[in-house]
Amino acid sequence: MDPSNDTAQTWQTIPDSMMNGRMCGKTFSLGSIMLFPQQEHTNYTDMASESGAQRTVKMYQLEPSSWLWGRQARKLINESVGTFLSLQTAITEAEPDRHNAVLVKKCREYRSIIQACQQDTKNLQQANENEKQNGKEPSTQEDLIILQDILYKMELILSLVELLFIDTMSDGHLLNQLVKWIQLHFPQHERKKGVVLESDRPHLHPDYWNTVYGSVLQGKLDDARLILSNHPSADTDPFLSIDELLRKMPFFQVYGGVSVGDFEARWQHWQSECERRLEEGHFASSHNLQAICKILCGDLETISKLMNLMDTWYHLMVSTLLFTKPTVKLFHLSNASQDAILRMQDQQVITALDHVLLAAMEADMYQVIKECQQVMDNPWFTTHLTDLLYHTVQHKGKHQVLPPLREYLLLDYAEMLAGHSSLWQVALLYLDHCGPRGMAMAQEALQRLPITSDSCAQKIIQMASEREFEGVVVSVCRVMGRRALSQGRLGAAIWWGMRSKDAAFTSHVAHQILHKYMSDGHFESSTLLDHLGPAMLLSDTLTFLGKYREFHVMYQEGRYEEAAALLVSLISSKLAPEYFWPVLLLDALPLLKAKEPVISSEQTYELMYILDTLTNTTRDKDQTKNEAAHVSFLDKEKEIRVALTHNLAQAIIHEGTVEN
Amino acid sequence: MFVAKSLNAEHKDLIHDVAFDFYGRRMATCSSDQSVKIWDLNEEREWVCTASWKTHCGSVWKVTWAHPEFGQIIATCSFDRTAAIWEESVSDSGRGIHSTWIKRAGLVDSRTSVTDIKFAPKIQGLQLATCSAGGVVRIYEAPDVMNLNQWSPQYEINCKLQCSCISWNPSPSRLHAPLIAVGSDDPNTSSGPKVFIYEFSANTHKWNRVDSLVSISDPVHDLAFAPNLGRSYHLLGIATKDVRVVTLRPVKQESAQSQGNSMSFEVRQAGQFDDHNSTVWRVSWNATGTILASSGDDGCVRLWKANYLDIWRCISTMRGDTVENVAEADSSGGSTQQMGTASTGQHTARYFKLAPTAHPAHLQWH
Repeated sequence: MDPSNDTAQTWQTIPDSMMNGRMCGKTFSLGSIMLFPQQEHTNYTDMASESGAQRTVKMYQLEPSSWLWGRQARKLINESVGTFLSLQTAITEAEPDRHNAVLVKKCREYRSIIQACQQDTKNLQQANENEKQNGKEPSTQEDLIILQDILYKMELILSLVELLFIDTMSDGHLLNQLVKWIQLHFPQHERKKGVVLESDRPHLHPDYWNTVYGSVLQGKLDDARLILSNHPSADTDPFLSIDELLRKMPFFQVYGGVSVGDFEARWQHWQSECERRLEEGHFASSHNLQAICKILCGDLETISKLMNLMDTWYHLMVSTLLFTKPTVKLFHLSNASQDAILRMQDQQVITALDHVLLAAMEADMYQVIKECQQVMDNPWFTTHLTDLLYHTVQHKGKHQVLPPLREYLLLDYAEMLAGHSSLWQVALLYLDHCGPRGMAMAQEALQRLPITSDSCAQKIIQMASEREFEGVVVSVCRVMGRRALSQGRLGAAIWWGMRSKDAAFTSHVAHQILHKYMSDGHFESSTLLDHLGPAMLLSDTLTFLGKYREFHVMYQEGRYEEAAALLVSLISSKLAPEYFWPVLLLDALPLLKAKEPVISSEQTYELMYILDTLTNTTRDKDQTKNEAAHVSFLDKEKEIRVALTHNLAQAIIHEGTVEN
Repeated sequence: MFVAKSLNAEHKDLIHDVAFDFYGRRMATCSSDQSVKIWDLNEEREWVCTASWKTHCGSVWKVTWAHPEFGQIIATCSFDRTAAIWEESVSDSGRGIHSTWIKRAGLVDSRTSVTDIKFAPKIQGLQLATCSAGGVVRIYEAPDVMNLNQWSPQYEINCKLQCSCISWNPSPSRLHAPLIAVGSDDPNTSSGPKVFIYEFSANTHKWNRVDSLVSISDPVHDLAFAPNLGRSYHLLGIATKDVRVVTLRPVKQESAQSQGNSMSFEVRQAGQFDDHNSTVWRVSWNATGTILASSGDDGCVRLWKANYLDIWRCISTMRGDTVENVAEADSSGGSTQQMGTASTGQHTARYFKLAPTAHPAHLQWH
């Protein structure tokens, strides 16, 4: 058998004749496609002008959709991820001999999640039914019915897989499990039992005997006895006899202290007793009781006749095994199911679901997975099923196919979730368990999330940091920085630039802030700039910007000497961009005019040198003339010169006196 | 199963290319009407055209987006022998945000029609590759990523055959040297291979041809490297007379004469599909490199996916239909999925729920 595990191919038609010729498809995001027509012969311009009935050219966006995106399935997704994650940790922590117990528990968790979802859907469906008079859309109702159908089938498959592959104990146990499985999924006799017993005269109810047979066929012998005891002739010999047989039928108890061999002997003894009583004509008076006894004797013909009570081949199979092979083993099931299908043949079409169940009966895990993929339009079920089976066989260490298959399916499922605007975080949780490819996909998925707001960016950064995706963090910061810049939010741009440690970008923004200051004398986000800290070393311009803000603070606090020293060092260290020199000179003006000289002669020379360079160069260029700072510089050039000479004289005198 | 949503293309002539930004929330379309349109997804998840302008004096063949780390930048190439770089400038006019696209640079080195244009992976900085009908691949770079006005032609590679398409290897790893695949649509099958692989050598500062795919001698119309998420090899999707998927597995060469880490590739064909039964015009990968979409002359778009054994197969086929009535098209499907049209006539967008028509091999639930 080729375990290639392919999903079924789908066909889509676009109801647009413009698309009938050549069309082109372009994928985008994780799973969307944009289709656009590409017909050379279509004359676009003529069409619009000539005929009144214009045909507009359309593009079609296709987005993946499945029932999994519905509101009802949201619970399924959100709860199953919890089970999935706890399964991964529980299995690594558990002792090897406890593995099965863990898996059984988790499998039941999955089942109860599905069941809860089933119940919800049912409730909603009923609520809708009541509201139908108010003109509710019938389509949602239809959706719900489909969903229920899918959920029922998933649960049916999963419970069978559980009893066949995961919860494996002893041979006698298997049949008990199968019987329980049938009882759970075919509750119609149970329901009928209630109806029959509640009627005035139960034995005259048309379903009376069918309910008895049905209960017997499902191994619900106590139910059968209860119904029989409601018959008016319940205390006659034939009834007492059949009641005894029903009561005495042995069932295997796992912890009953009886070996399989002993149990088998006991069972054989019981059945020969049934056969004896049948032969001796205990039930000759009632053909109904005779039929019951024949069932107990495992008479295939009788059981087959009651086919309509069993609906499916697997019910037939289990009922047959119940009375013919009490210690059935897994490898018997293949033949037994084939037999059952053969006996059922003319009454039932083999469906996709049957193929899945059949594969399970044949103990072929890959085939089960493959068949499931064929019928599910999304990987939710197959993914979790495969994960369970992977862990089941993993410690037996003989399977080569399941590990890569499991990873492939997990990636597939996670990729699908990642494409959904509100489920991407769930996707990451799965990707954490997919090895290196999962890591790579998680990074890609995180980066591709549309950053709609600052809080969204923070969320992505947080998720990326938790996983040490440094590249993603940097990338998000850069994108945010660019965006802030294009919107003119320079402070935010600087902040993001520093977070991404992007020197070129922060320099650029710092220059912009300086230019802005020069034109309107106002600093963008001054608090941020005052608290740059060591991050300002990222680029020269940023350092200058930070230091220049420091100068302002010092000046405002009246620390003139420090301020002057800083100002001059900013100029002499060449940190200051040339276009900003006029501002620095203007800033120096009040300091130069101070009563006590705060600028030394050495520093004054620096300032004079700069003033000189500046006046020599600005005469040629006039691109900065519009900036307010520059205009006021030209106004005050003379004043600065005077102040400089004055200060120089004072400083020389002052320095001379101090030295002496 | 897909849900389809339609929008009016608004172009006055044939649309040649549709490109999506990194997040899939912006779209650029280019056309023979010499214009480019920019579309943005609004809050109702509808595409709204936010800019439209004449970009070239000839058909615009391709349009491509730079990584958003560099800002909102697109590049176009045209029949008018030029390529151009455009940057969005957003201004708040008081009555909502207004976006205009400003031409930052024109690349006029080609003497023939520029047939394809692609930005390099962001790890290589702001680089741009073009190819021309004259068979020349040019690689440009903006040395200062904050200044888009300056683009210098860095490398020129003569492929000797007319080029139709180009693709950068998007592998985000620093381990791999930059790689470019170039396709030629030279109609002469006897002119040899039509796909060339060039690798950049950091030692010699040159692009070297490291491989020509000998298995492909028919004209190649499009090719694309798949995004590499943790694979040890590169995947190349090729549109020629059929769909090809080729794997390039790097093999370290330990030869004495080639110093440094020159790579050679073990080239293997992972898939060759003639399902289109006609010429294939375009291929495109999804963001994770798991699905390849191919468009052919048979009017179909097919989606290809590999299973866990890396066996590629078609997972979906889309085709245009003359049937205007969706419900009618559906009834033949006989599928259990929800059918019918849930079309809510909103402005320009219409919604269809497309029912998959059952494949013969697809068995239904009972």
